[in-house]
Amino acid sequence: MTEPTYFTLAALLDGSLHGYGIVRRAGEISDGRVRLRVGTLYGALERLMEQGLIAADGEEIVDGRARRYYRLTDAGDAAVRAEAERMRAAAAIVRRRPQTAESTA
Amino acid sequence: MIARLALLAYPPAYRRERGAEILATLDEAGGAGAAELWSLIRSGIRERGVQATGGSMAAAWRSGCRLAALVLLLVTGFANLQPQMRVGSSPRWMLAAALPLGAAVLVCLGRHRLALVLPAISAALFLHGSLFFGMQIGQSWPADQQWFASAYRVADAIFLALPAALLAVGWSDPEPSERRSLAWLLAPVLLAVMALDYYATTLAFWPLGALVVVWLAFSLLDPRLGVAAFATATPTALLVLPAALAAPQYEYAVALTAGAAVAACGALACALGPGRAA
Repeated sequence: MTEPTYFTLAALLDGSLHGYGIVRRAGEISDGRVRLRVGTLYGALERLMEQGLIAADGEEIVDGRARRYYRLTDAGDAAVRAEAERMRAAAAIVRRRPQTAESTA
Repeated sequence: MIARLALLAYPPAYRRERGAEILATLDEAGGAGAAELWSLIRSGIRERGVQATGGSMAAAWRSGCRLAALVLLLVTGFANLQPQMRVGSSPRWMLAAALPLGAAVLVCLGRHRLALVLPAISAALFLHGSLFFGMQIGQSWPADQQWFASAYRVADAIFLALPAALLAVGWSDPEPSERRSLAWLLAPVLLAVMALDYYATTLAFWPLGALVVVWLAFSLLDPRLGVAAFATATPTALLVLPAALAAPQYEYAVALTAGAAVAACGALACALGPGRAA
């Protein structure tokens, strides 16, 4: 799972969001590290909908702008949690090793 | 306005369905900076690729490789056959020289696995020393032009080995969309251009270079053409560059083909490179 995909799914864990809402939320939860580009976001949304990991959750017009909302499906929720667990296990391999003298110096 | 232009990279149907939403999101995100525009163009080209190949980048690679193999087989077959016909070689040699053309026909018919056998036979004849790319059989070279003889041998090796390698990469059966691609019609056009071009009987710079440029333009619409352009331009540029050192009259062809090879690399990186979302 690529980083844009992971953060797109993670942004939707707290509820459905529209395109810019996902961009903003991904920035918040990554402390500003992840800045999803709009082209990348919609590429990811397209593939995630095809895979059944997210679903459209209504549309509305706000200030004359078209907004479509997206929500996580059960499969999407399971996929992002499985990815988080995989990364936690991978990180643990490194973190439980004692730091070398050079890196602590 | 610029964002609307960047949206043209997406397929029309996708633009109709998502265009307004993408523009609204872009507007909320603070407008279209250079990075956002590039992201839109890249995603749009990828979306076209996904639609052209049923969503499989692997299928785009396989199909593009088969198209490049077809062109290289036509070039090799024509360059082999033309000198034999000029001097009226025996039917046996004519048949041997035409083997790559037979393979090209099989590729057009979708019989890729069978087509793989014919360049292999040609390669065996080449290794046996009885078939030369663009040369009359038994032709001898003046002492001061021996360099050309070795250049032809290098050309032989590349133009016989490469189509076989490309066909091996594109081993699976063609996807239904492949037969609909207009790009395949360019191959017979190339053959006609070569028939009119005297130099095509030797190293075939111009027709290949021109074809690659056309493919690059269309590779924005279909990534299979980017693959084909890359696979065709690279060996041609490899052949052209050393030849240009010995024959400066080819300098324009060199610039065209070498430029096309570089551009083909760029088009490939853009359309099929790493970082594809999801």
